[in-house]
Amino acid sequence: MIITENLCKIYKTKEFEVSALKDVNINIEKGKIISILGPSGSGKSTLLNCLSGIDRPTAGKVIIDGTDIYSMKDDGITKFRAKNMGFIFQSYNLIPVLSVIENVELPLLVLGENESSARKKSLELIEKVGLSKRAKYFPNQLSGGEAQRVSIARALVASPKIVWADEPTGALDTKTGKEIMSLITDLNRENDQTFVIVTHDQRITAYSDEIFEMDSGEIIKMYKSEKM
Amino acid sequence: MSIFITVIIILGIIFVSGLISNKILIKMAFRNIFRKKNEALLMMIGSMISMAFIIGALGLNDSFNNFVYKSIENNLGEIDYVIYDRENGVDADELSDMIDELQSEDYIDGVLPIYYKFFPVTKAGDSKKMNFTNFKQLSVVSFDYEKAVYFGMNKPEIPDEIKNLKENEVAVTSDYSVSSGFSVGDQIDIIQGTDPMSLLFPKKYTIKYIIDKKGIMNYRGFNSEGFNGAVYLNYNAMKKIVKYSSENRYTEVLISAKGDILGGNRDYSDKINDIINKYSPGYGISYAKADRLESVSSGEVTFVFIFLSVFAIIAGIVLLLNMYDMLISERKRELGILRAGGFSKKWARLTVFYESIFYTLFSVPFGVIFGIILSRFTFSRVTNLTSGLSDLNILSGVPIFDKFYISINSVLIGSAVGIILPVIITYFYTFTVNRLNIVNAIKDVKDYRKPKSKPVYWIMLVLGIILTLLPENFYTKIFGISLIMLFIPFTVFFKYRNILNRFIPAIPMIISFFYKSQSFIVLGEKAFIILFATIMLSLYNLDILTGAFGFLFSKIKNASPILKIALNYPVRNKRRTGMIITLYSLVIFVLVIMTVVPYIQVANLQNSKDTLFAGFDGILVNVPGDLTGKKLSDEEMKEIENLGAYGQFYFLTSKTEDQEVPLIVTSKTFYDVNKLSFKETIDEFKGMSDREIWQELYNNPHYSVVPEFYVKDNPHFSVKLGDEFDVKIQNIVTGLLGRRTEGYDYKIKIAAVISGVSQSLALGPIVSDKMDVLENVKGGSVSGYLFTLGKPSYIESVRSAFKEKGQFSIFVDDIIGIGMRITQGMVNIINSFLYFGLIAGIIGISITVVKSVSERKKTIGMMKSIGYGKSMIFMTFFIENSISIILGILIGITAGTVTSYKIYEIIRGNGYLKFIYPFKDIIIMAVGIYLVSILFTFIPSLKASGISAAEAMKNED
Ligand SMILES: Nc1ncnc2c1ncn2[C@@H]1O[C@H](COP(=O)(O)OP(=O)(O)O)[C@@H](O)[C@H]1O
Ligand SMILES: [Mg+2]
Repeated sequence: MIITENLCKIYKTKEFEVSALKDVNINIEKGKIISILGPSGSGKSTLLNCLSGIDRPTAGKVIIDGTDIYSMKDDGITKFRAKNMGFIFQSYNLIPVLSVIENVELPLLVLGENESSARKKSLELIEKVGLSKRAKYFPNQLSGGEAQRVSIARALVASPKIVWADEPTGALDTKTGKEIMSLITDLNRENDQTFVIVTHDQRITAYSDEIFEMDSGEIIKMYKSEKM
Repeated sequence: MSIFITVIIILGIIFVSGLISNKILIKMAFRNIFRKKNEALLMMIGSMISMAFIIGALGLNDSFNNFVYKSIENNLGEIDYVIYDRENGVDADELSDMIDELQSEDYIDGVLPIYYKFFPVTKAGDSKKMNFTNFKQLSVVSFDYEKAVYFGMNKPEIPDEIKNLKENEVAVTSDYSVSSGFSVGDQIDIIQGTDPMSLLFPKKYTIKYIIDKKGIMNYRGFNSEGFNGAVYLNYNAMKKIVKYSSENRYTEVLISAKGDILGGNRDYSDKINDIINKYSPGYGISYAKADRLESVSSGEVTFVFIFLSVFAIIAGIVLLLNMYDMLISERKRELGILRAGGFSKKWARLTVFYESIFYTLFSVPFGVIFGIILSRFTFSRVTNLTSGLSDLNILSGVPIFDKFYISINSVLIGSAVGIILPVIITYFYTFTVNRLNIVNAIKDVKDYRKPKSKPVYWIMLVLGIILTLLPENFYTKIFGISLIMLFIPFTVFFKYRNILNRFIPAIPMIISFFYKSQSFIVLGEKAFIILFATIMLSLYNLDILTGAFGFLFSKIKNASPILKIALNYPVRNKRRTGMIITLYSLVIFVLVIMTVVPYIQVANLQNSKDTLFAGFDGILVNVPGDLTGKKLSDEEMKEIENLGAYGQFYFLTSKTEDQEVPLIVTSKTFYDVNKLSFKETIDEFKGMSDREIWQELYNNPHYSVVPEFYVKDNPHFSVKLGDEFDVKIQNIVTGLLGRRTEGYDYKIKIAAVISGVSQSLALGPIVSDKMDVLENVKGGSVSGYLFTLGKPSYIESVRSAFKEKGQFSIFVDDIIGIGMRITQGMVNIINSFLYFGLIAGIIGISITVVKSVSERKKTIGMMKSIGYGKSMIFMTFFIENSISIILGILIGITAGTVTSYKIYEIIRGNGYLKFIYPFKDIIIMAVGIYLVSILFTFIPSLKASGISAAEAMKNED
């Protein structure tokens, strides 16, 4: 479903050039949880950004469901992303001035859904992530785990085919991190959505179907995981 | 003042010692400045603008005060008290006990009895030739010049030429010599009486000296500073002229108190007043300097200057608050990281502290320079205007503003505010940041605290109650009430605070609106209360107001996700929104007042063209006994070419038992030509045309017509249409035996009321000249002609024709023209100062947007990732900023209009003045300001829309 062809990314600064991705060729199947594992600076985030269409690669192609996404203009990619993808960030990135429910319904509103049905769908998802009682709260009244659940709800509310997560447990303690990962696995099982999770934490890979190991901008290992 | 200097020095020492000891801190502070160059630049410009604004305002005030003090100093010098009796003179012997006591207590350092009298003065020979045009009313002064040199602390220098004046020699003040072109050696006539002999054979004097001095050598008599000049006479010659009943009587006795009243030293004033009160001599007493200061400082011009500076200072302070508040909230996260990395609280605080000190220190010199340039420029325009006006020669007493002046104190205060305020703000806020949970600070989330009532709130509430109950002035009362209103929701009714707050600010506003007062000071207080209450009201109802904006923008593309963001940011960041709104509303508020009030005056002036002189084009006024213009006869009037209709009028004084009734008696022409319209008439006139009614009124000399204000809410005399009353018409006869008053009985009926007459023409009933007693009294009354022009363009030829006959004519067009010039000139000046103030608003909003963009980088990235396009991000900023700007403008317009109405009520008094609102001007101004401001937010907003979605993925920046 997600296929790359010789994906390359070179960051050019005034003084030097960094080759963050070197001829990456991967194929991700639908409905799987994929972990991209590697040490810091190995190019994981760069790969994720290129796959999700938020950072144009220097060379190579990304084909999602048969669409070569970088053949589109930026606006086209933005629309494609809104329709097909959800994002979970390490730092949650909730909008501080909006309540939990308003944060969650935002992607639906962007897609042009009317306010009442957006609200209904969001409430369902908030219930699914176990935060019904917090729907009217504002981000600064939430714990880290709760905030990340909200950001997961927001990523899933528009029923995207693919969910991208960059270090989703990076800012959380181990116990909460585990809870978040099992929530992700549950949701994946329920909706048959593809999850691509970037992490430097070996333990996260236990929740995934397949693991790509990276170092210095290259995939050095690809293997199936024994799911727990 | 020395406190400020000390504070600055201490701060400097702290800063420098800090510099030396904490190299890392300095490095951090510098790094922040250079990392975000644009923001740092904006911070510096902002600090500079606020400082310039404050210093500019102080400079304007300084120049104005300097002018006032200088003119008082020029006229009065060492003279602090004046004891006078203009009719019979002051008997110096009667004062001797009082003066002895004052001298023995050592409270005074000078006593000088003087003579003076006003006489027409002209070039020798002019009066014989009946050439009246060059006559000027001058103050003829004399005193014992030998004694005068001991008067006051700075002993006046009296030139020998003056001490040695012979009986036919004089010295004149330089203003008179300049305006009349005289120099030493020229001869002048002083006409010392109203009889033909004095006129035909005036006393001739030779000018021996031209004086250019202050104080007693420039004194023209109490209350006559606007006069044409003074002539100094030989002491003995003067004694013969004034002819008081005894040798020891003088026109005035001048006293100089120890200490400098103008310089603020009033140590002796109270003691001297006590002694004067103890003896209470039966003469008029003027506390000359104090009185004059008082009369200046309660005037309109002073009010405008004070109002402007208070406004400018508040605007400057709000801008500073706004900027540094944002600086801290931006640095919050970094502070958390520093603390996590082992920095002590103090160190973390100091980094931000140093950063803000850098900004302020950079901006101080520029702020000072810019502020001085600003006030200098503004003041020079005031100077140009007033000197331009005084050239017109029609208005006497237009103050000619002097040179620009700014005191060192003002510069110091301005700089101190510019330095201290940011330092206090940063210091205070960094404390709150330090209290913040380190983790939350790093995560850049606000600490959530459950709101609760604090003891401080209760203290403020009690303070409010005390102030309200104090039997003090309006100011303390309204301040007390405001405090109660502000803090009641957070104390007694804590539970209901959110609902209460929505309408509570309206209460002080309503009180201010309905509180009746004619004082300009109270007006100023009301103005600011009305403004700040409107701001509070809007902030507490911000959700409703933004909801209205949402409705406004609901038709744009992708409205729903855009509005979600754009409406919630201002509502949830009330403090920030509040500051932008305050900045804008402050400027607009004053702009609206300065537009509306003069507009009302100008518009009324223009509308009054037909009523000012009742539809006549001009007027000639003659005062009996005034030799500068003998009244023209009917034949002489006929000789004037290009004149249309003309008719005589007489001003008569009459009295009922307890009321003065000013009468104006007019000839038939007035009844035929006037363009006045009737408001109401007695039943007898029902069904007649206006012209027929005028004929009736002319034919019946006991019927009078009165202006509307005379029968409506007249505080002095309550009469109404149809009333009949008896008056005694007064006539003052000056004969050999002195002055005596005759009275003639007359019956008056109010038969008609005219609308729209300004007070300039008629103050009371208008009666026809068929009145029988007119013959007896007209000789002693002020009278003249009302006339129309053959064509409007004849104005100048008619003016000069009158001038040739020694007559001074005033035209409606002159009055309207001058009025317009004054108001327009004043408005232009003030507005140029205010539009500069707008820069404060624009800088404020630019900084806010720039900071918001950098604060919200991740949020914007996230929004991009979930599908917000470039234009949508741009729109969120566009709408968000529009809300603050438009709200600020609307609040400013509302509060400004309400305040203008209050000002209008004061200037209207009991007279006739319509409230006319310049809708077009206000709308153009509002739209213009909005467009310029929003344009300035475009650059950072565009930058925001260009932020990439990858930004949100970054874990650190
Ligand atoms: N915007 C950028 N400009 C320059 N170099 C970058 C940029 N973003 C990432 N890099 C470099 O690319 C490499 C890969 O970065 P990244 O994908 O963020 O690694 P990871 O997510 O695995 O920690 C690193 O060496 C990093 O320094
Ligand atoms: Mg990364």
